[in-house]
Amino acid sequence: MNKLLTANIWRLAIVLFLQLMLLKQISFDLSILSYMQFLIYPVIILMLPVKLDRTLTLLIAFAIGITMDMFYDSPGVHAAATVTTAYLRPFLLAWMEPYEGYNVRESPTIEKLGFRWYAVYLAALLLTHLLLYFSIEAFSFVFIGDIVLNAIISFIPTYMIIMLGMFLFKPVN
Amino acid sequence: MYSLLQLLTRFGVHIVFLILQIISFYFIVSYNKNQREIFINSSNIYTGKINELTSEIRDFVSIRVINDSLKRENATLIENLIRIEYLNEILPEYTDSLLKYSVISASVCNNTFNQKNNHITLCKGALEGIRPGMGVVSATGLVGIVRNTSPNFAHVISLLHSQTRISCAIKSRNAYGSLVWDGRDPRYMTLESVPKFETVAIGDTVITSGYSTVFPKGLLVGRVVNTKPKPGSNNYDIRVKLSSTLGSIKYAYVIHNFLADEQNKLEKEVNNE
Repeated sequence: MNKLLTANIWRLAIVLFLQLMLLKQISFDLSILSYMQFLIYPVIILMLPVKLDRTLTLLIAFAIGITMDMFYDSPGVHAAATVTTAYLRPFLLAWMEPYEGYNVRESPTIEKLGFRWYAVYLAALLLTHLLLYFSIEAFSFVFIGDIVLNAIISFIPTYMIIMLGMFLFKPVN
Repeated sequence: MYSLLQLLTRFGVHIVFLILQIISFYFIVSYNKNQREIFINSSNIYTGKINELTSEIRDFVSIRVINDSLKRENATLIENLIRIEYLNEILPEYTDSLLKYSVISASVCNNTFNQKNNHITLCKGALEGIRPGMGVVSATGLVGIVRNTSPNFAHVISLLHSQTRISCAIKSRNAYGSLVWDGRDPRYMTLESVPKFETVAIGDTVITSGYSTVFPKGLLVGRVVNTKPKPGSNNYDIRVKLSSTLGSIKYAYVIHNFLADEQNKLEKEVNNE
């Protein structure tokens, strides 16, 4: 339990540090690459224990979202998207439940549940989060083309970065 | 109390989710200018559409009153146009007394346009100030000349009449002539007696010359479509496409020239000498 908590707190700190200090600064001005934004903090929500109290996950997600908002100068946008992602996570987990159920209190990739499972899990939640974030940022269906374009173009590099991080750090819990 | 706790444990997650989302959206709409504008403007779109619909219904109910006021407004505007046309000729001291026109608006009660001689009946007559000899125009162009009045109706000879002769000029050129109708196509009339040495081009605008007391100068009559020299004379026969759609006029404006009687009396004295 203690190991779980410290592992998660370390993950929170490192990911937030990376996101806010490094990845926030990266932006392109070229034509289609200007839609690319790196948002890797959903991985914190993803890697929370599977059976963690749902209310607690919502509150944690809200806190992370508000922190991101404070740095990105967009009050409420990240918070709304993150809270919705955290709310939808249990439904996705229940849908993707492996044959013998989740027998541990976490969801990493290699050791516990397999690469294929994790690839689908990450893709689903990350895409959901990005679509939600860009939709709330645009706040109007007039911009639906921009929203989808932003989500898809940001999704690919973000996905690769998170996968890379998984392979590099090999988190156990 | 127990059932309330039970409810809370069952739906606690969803309630917390809703509360957090409401807080987030409150932040979004209060502090983010773009989202706030979209939020407020979207609510405006719906109220705007409802307002539009109700105002359309109200306009439909009061359409007669609106039409009457529009007719009066049109009459005033035509008066002003005529006044402006003459404005640069009049010496400043005489602005108030010389060349006053007033316009009376009327609806068309009866209209013929496909016979050899066409007439129009207006729903206003002598009681409104209409006298024989006044010119009648519409929003699109000339209509005719009043021939007879009764207390409540006026009988107007349309442009499309064999006896119509209207003194017209070609805009920005020095050419003057008489406009007559050949009895065939109700869209075209012929401008006669324009000397051949005048240059007339296709597309030129034909306006009233103001030489008669019936119509003030500068009113639009039509456009030149063809010029043909009249055989056996030194004049052109100019085919003019009329700008007024005489088949479909609903409102006409009668032009009252205050100085018409005086000018006509003077010209008659000169002719009788």
